[in-house]
Amino acid sequence: MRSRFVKYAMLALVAVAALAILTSSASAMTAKTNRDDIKIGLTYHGSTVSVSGLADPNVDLIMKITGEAATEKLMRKDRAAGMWMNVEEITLDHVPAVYYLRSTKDLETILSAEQRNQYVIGYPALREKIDLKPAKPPERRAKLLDNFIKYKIDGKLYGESLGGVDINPEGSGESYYTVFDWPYQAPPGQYQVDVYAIRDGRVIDIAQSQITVEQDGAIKSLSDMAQNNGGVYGIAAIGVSVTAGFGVGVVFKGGGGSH
Amino acid sequence: MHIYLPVAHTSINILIPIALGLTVGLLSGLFGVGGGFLMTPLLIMMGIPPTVAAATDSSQIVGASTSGTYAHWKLGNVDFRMGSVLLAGGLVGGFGGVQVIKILKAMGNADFVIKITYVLMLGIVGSYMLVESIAAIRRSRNKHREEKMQSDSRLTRAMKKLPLQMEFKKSGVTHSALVPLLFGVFVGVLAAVMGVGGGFLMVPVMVYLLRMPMHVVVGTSLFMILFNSIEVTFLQSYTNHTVDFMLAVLLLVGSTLGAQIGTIFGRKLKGDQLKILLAVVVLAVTFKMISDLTLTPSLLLGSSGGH
Repeated sequence: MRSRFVKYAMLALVAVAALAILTSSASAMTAKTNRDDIKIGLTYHGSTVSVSGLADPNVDLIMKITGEAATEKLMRKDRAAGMWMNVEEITLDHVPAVYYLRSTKDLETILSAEQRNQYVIGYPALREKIDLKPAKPPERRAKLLDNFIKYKIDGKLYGESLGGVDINPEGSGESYYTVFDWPYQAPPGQYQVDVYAIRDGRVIDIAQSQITVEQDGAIKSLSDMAQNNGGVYGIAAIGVSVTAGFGVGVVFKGGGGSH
Repeated sequence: MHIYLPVAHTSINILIPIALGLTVGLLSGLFGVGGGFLMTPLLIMMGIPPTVAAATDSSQIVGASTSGTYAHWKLGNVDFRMGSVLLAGGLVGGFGGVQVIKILKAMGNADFVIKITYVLMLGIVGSYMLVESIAAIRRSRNKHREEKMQSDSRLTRAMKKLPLQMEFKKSGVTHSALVPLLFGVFVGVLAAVMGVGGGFLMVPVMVYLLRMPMHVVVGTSLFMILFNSIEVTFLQSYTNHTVDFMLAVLLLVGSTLGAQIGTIFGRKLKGDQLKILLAVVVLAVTFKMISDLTLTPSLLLGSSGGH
């Protein structure tokens, strides 16, 4: 009886110790942004977002910022009768509104391909995740998705960068700090910040944070009105245009004509 | 200073749309065109989504054409009678053109037809206006009367035989009401297919087919464009929610001023000089379109919508 009690007690101790190790490992990694929300006001022209936190020593870090996944429709261009024109509408599912990646070292040298695909880290992994309709043969699919990613990079919505992360010793671990330029092109919505700690080609820890981008004040009022009261919005737009045109016409009356 | 555009979801230096509006407004006041064929591609180049660019453009055209129509009305340059008949035809044609586009889209070759129509119409109109205007200037130098050249055309004789003859005093011409009505339908169909107001098509129709004097053509064309653009602005706001009010106001600041300045300049230029200038602008846009169609694009993907 006593030996059984000791056995269970030992097992419980081991379980508690294991839990403590796991918990301490999970809590060692932190991630926070300098702001939880970004307000889009009248003079908004983008912003900056810093990501900082604590990590275990001797790990590589990857920071990923992603917007909500959505469906996007685009036109595919091809030659027809010797001219380049839109020939087909394509639909892309599971497309993040924004995809920013920053790493302390080259992605392919620190993380296995399997892990990159699992955590959707890097453009090749993102390509695999996107669902393209109508379906295309592999070579054409890859070409189209490469074009799609370039299209997003040109629009400042996707980006990958190496370095630019300050790492300093702090306590038994390290603190890290990096700043992202936040593009004004990023639409309102929820954004997820993931920081991955990498060791021996694998993700050993993840810390997360969120950012909300929302319209504010006059911008929000106008946007809501355009979406929800299109008729009133249209009449207001016409009214302002006619009044402005007529007003300028009256102002120019003296100098504008001889009649 | 930058300003955020709530519908286009982009930020822009406020001086850029004002300068753009001023330039296109100037053309509007000078030639009586809405400038949609020029403004929409320029807005897209500035990073505005194509659907928002096309819809917002129509909103600013309302302002510019109000300003231009008012200025030309004060100068006595608007033939309301002719404008109303052409407008009626244009509205009917516009409705027909929208149906044509629906059919073409269902058949899957709308984009091809739109682009070919664009290049052909711009090319034909621009070339004809340029050649004719240069010839007219030469004729006037040789002291030949232009009216003599025009009087015996077969088309003119055929048009005079049609019923419902109507006098358009302001334009100094007499035509069957069917003539401007049918030309209005024709331009309306083409404008709807091309997704533009149709000013650059209507101006040559009024000058060369209806034989209206150039100064009345500009004012009357602006009067029609005003009503056309009001209709398009409302429909785009109501159905597509793509009119960016903020952008439209900035464009308006420039275009309403530009329209007035254009009207003043227009009075200082002769009709044929105006036609040559418009022809050069139209041909420049044609060449840009041809190069876009023939040169390999950097990306094989593009947004849907726009012209």
